[in-house]
Amino acid sequence: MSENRLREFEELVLLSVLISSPQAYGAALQQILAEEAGREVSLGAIYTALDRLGRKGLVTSKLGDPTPVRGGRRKRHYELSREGFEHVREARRIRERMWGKVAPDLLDGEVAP
Amino acid sequence: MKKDPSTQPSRLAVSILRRICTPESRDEVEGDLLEGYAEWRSSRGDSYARRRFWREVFLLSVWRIRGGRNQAQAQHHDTHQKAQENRGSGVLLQDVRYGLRRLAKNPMSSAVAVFLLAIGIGGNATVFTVVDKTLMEPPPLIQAPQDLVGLDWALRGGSGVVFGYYDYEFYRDHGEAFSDVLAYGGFPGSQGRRTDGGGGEVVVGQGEALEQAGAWVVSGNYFKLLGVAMGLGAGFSPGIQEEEETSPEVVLSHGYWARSFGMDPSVLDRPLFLNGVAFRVAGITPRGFRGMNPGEPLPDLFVPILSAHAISLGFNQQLRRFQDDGSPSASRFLRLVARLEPGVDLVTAQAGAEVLQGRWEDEFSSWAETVYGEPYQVRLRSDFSMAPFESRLLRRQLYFLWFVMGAVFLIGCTNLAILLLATASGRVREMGIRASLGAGRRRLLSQLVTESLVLAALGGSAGLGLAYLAPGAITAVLSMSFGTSFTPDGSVVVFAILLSTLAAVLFGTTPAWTLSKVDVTTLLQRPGHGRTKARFRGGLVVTQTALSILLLIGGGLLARSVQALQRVDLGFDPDRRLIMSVQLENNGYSEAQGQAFVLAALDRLVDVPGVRSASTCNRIPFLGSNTWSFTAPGTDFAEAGMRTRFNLAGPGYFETMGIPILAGRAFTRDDLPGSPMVAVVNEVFAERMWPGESPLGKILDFVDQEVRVVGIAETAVYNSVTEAPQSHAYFPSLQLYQGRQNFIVFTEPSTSAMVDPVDKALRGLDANLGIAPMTLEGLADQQVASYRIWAALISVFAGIALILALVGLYGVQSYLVSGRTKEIGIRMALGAEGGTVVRGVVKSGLLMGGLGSLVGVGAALALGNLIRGALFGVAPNDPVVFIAVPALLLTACLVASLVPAMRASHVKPVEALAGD
Repeated sequence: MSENRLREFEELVLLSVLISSPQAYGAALQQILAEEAGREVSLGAIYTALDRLGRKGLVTSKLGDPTPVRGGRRKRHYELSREGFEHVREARRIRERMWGKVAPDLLDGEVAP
Repeated sequence: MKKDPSTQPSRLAVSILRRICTPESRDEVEGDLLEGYAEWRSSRGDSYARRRFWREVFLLSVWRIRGGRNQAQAQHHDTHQKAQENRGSGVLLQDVRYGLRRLAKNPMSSAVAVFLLAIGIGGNATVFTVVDKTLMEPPPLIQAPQDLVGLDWALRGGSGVVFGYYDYEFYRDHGEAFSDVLAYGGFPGSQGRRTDGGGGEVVVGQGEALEQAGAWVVSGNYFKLLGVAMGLGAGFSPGIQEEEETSPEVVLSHGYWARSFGMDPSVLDRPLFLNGVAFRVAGITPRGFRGMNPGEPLPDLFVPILSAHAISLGFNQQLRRFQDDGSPSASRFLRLVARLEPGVDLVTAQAGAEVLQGRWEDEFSSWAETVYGEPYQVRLRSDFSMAPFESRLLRRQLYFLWFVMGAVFLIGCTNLAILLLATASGRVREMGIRASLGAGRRRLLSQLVTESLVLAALGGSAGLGLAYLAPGAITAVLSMSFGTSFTPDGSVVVFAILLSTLAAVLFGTTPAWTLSKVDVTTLLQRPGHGRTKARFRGGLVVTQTALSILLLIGGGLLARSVQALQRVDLGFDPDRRLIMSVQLENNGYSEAQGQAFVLAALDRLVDVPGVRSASTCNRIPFLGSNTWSFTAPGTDFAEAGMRTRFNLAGPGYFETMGIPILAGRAFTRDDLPGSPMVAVVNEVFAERMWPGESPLGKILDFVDQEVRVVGIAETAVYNSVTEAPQSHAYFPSLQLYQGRQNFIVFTEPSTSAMVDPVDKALRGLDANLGIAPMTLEGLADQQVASYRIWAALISVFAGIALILALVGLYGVQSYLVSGRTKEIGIRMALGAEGGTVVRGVVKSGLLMGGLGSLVGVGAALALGNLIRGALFGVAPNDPVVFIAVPALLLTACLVASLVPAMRASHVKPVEALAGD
């Protein structure tokens, strides 16, 4: 379904949620994106992506209980919904299948002119 | 312990962050960001962290504006969070955007709404500006105005603000509480105030290029005491205050310099000829200097008192307490303003002035008794800029104007409320959908109020624009002619913002309240038209009608005043009377020369073709007068005189003016110096001085001379058309010569055609004479003008109010009719006649109009006293106005109801019933 196609950034956020699960919240996601993808992303952009993913039903969220860690501020925890899991699995399958068909010498980095 | 500031992100950024977050996202966003901040600090350093924090906050606000967290989703997925009202200010931006979108969708009705608000707010802002600049703020450019006091004199219950030069010298030299005293005024004997510049007329220039300019005489320390630095030049030389022999100097007003010299700075380098005498231009007043009195136009020229004799030959006579022959003189033409010594307050200064009074009496009591009957008291007043009667008048006019503007504003707001209520029905569905999606009532209310605020802000800005663009329009209304128009400043912006907010509350909350009450179930059905809502709308229409009735009655009363003023019997005939005013003394004439000039001029004038008759006088109606305390042996006024205005009139004066002589004779060419002194008195004078007797042949004392009354003139109007009948006396101008001569010419054709030939005739005698032409009709018209402007202004606003009220009534009626379509359809299907339906609708319209009229008439009766002072010849409860205005309004209501009623009567039962 075309509606469910994700932008690259949304996919990265989805993966980050998966990586940091079950401790996926804004600041954590921001850090993972910086460390793993080398991207300095603003919180606003992350929230926007999470909002979209939420609307598509790929991500759910709930507010955590207040903890003294962040001065009593509650975190919103994100996790993948069933559809979300299916979506990343499907995306991974497609990618792996396609990578399998790429000629091995191209993987070494020399692209024919 | 205080935390190291660098470990914390900017507090401003945090508070902005809190503002853009909704309560339910605040914890999450703030927590995430602070966590990030700690991480950035440890990995990248403080300054990076701070910069990054700001960037994050900025981007988060963009995220919020672009829609932010999807609320339905958040609530749907969040089982822990209870449904919370979403009223964070993050929502504000959203609502503002929504409000603007809605306005753009209905450009016509939005434009009307903004226009209504603009008029209401703009009008009020303008009046506010004028009130602020004239009544609240001291005049501009004057240093330490709080230390300035004005001097008044009080005598036997009367009081005044005009002093003699000898008084000025006394208070300047002896007032210990005063660091200095200044004096200013028009030339003595100058005729009233000109509207285009103050003071007396001076002829400026040499040879061919002559022009008239208004001049004040001022003490040499005038600008220095006020602390006003010249815009150009060094100002009066220091000696000008003390020594009479200093060569004459003059300061030009900035306006005159710009008008007549195109702001040429070289005027300082050459002499300026005033009445043929070379004056040194000592300076130009700075731009923006308006003098002290906001209601008084600034003169073109400021002439030091001790230079004025160069312009006006007899001027120095006016400065003395005694004339050359030793007789006491009382020429008062100066207003005094003192600067208090540092640390002296008004009370101390007043006490000092009373001590001073003792000295004054020791020195001058015999003189004062001769001139005034008794010494007068000096009072200090903190409002140095205006005389009490002037500020009272200004205050009354301004507040009255404000009242009118306030009514217009209220009517505009009521209309908007009606408008919004009408559109509200169309929004019921929208509100229902929002409510069903989980928007709480407070959330809906805040959105609707925000929409009203957006509308009010637009209207307020437009109104402010109006106030900036048309400040002159309002000041033109005030009878005091302001030298400059007032440009609004920062405080008026604040005022407009407050007013806009008030407007939004007034017209926005009720529709919002009604709408926010919408039930989700209303989604399923067509919105009904509740009875309470109809009653509320009806109430708005009634309010509006009442307010417009109030304004219409005010306008009507003023219009009737104008009528009455135009019907006033002036006692003279202003039609085709041309006046040529000359000041012979100022033009270098001695008394003998002047006398000869007058006789020659009278001869020449009657020979000009088209002239019926010609005469001369010292005073013309409405432009000031002379007064004297007259005594007459054997009367009630044998000792204490009867204070009466008098005029000096030439041969043929009464005939030329059209004032009937009731008994005795008028003045002739034989009433010359040396012949027995004669007088003509009016009826009121005769009745007061010699009740029940004929005044003919009676003796009056005037300036220590015996004067025989030879004629009785009909009582006329002298100073103002609204004055009560005044006593008045006339003396032959040939017997008592004065430099001011007003030649009156009764012309056959229109006066405008005769100005040139008459001017030519006088210039045949003296080519360099400064002549100011006027018409008696113009002067009489000016008397009515301010009433006419007020009546026009209020009528215009009353008209707008009426139209608004009718639009409101029409809107409500149409709305009610459309809501009753089904009912009417059923009734007509059951056999009701169209006529019955029409009658029903019209009846409800008339009911609303009638109720409004009742309330409006009641209010008008209650407020009648407020307007009494502004009326003339008509009572504040004038039956004509009080019957005509409601009748007019009810007729209009009938018409406004008829159209929707007709529409209702054409309802086809089938369509009406199928409609839903």
